Amino acid sequence: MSGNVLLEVNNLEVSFRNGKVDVPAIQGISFSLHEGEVLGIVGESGSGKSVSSNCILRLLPGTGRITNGEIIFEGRDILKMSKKEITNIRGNDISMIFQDPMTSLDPLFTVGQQIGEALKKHSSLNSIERKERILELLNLVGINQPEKRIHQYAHELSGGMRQRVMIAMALSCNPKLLIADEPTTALDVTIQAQIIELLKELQEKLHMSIIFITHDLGVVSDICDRVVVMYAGEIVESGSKRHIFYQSHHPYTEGLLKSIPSMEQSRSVELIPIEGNPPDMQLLGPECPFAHRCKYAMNKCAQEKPPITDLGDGHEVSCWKEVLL
Amino acid sequence: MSDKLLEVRNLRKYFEIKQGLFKKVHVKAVDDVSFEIKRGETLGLVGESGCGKTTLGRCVLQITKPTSGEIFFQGQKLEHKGMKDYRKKMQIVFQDPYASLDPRKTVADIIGEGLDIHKMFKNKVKRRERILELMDLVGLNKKFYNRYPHEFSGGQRQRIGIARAVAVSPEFIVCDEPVSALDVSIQAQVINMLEKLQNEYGLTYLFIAHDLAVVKHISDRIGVLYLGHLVEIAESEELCDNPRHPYTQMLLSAVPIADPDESERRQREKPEGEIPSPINPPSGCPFRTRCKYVTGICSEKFPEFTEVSPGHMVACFHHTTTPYLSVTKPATEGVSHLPQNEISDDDLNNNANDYIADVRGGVSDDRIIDEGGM
Repeated sequence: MSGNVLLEVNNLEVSFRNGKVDVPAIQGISFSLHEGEVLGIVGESGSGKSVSSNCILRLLPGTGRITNGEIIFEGRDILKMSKKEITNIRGNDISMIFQDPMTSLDPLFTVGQQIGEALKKHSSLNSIERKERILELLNLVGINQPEKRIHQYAHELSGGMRQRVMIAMALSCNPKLLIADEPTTALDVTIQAQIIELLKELQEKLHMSIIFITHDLGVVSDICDRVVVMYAGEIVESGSKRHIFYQSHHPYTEGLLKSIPSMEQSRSVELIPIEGNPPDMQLLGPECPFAHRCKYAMNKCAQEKPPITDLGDGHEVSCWKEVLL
Repeated sequence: MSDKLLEVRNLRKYFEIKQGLFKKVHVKAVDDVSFEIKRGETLGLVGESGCGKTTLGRCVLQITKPTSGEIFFQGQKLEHKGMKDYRKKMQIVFQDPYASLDPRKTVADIIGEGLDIHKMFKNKVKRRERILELMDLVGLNKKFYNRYPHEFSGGQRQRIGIARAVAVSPEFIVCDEPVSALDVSIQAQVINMLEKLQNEYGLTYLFIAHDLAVVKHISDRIGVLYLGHLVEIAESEELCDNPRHPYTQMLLSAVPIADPDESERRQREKPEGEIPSPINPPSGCPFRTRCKYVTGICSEKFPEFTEVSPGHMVACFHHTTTPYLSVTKPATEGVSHLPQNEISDDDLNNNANDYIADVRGGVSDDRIIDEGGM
């Protein structure tokens, strides 16, 4: 993708306090995002995909701590900003939509009030202009009868409609970066398709960058330009969509792709699951976290973490197989 | 394969909800659904949330008492009271592996509960042997015998749930979204295990899920539910290659494909509208509010379930005019099913609009279907 680098995450490490021990959640990840690019972060539950995106807005819960790394947004380190500066960025330059549209909307405020909140905070519009802008936003996200909807509450709307309201809220200040954390997981498949189409349209129209977090490889293939695959708090492979889907080098990526049933496959094709379970983050040692599930595992894998190998053209993988073989 | 194991006839389940003090309304969760399942077969049921697929599964097992309709298992009619004997033959695996296991029971007691209720093992040693055998069967380590559910991950819990269902050697299992709460890599493990169990014990499954790709993978036949109605049922390959109901077509075109080339190439129709409230469903065909082939007759009555090819049933007035939509094939191939090769999507939309215009102009529906000529 063309454009300048908008966001750069360098060597980010996050851990959570559990009683008296620190449990690592992110173990030194680095990635970058260009202007106008859609980056997908895929991984299973507990792989750290949501935590890494929450770090970008410094939205970690109380027990979470960023222990190392930097997050450079437009040349400035978000982690070093004062509270006031980060508040200015939240909902303005970077905004976020969440998985569950029911719990992330406030049941006590109308749709209009909630969309207007960020505008009130970040723009100099007066109340009449603000209302116009809210109506414009509701139109933009494809909500019919915006004059009526603006006075409704979250419980009066369907799941798909709520997610559209969430998107309208996120777009209210023309963000440069939209972080979408599993925005379609709670939705039915036809509604999911609508929301994805909407996000694609809006991305093109407003030329924003999107970080799209999901566990669904189908959704990734639909909307993303580049993909980062996470496993146990680490990035195991990253590259363009085509690299990941057609030339995957990491055994985990390969395993993921083989374990999902596809519509084209005939029934006789057996799924090849990844055996075993993801590791317990408390018990992680110095080894490659995927080693105990990996069918290519070598002695080296149990001793040391693999370095990142650059395969060219923005395709990177961290696996001993690439280094030693 | 050929003999019927389960037959469902005109099954209805209406839930009563109160609105205000005196007013009562019915939610038609399942409305006039009939199908049969052959021995050793897997019937998949798909549909969006609120379409009644879980209620249907529960009614089949008489966990919820149906409002009306009949269910025959091996030729015997099932009654809501007097299911105990059948519980040994019919089992269920639930969706949520966290909520469906009693947190105060050990794995052994959860798996062995059915064995105890049906007094299958008087001898404690034999009971223990059987439970260990079951744990081995579903891939659980024997040392977990005395552990509690909270010590397990989602995938392992689902294995416990499956072992519990298989324990009493049933013939028929309702799998109610057994993999939707699991991570993808674990999903495949559980799906493979369900298939292995089916092959070994000749089990028959009613597999309920919202993920079409999973359902297609595991099912011999697939039924599509919409707002409590069964709108289409066919062999799974046939249903996915030649969907005839506009709703099935919409569902199929909405499934994300994990293949960048394929998802670019595919002619994606933007699915219209949202599922209406089941409290106040549209009259006639429930799908008419989202359907692009809608005509006047759709609002008058529910379309008959008609056989369009052997074993392929569809409930739509316009199944003869809806074009074949080959969703999983490249776009060019999909269009070639049409009589004139050059019909584009826009034309089809226009045609549909013309039909609507015609109906409003008072033309009978028969003629419209003839004119379609597809």
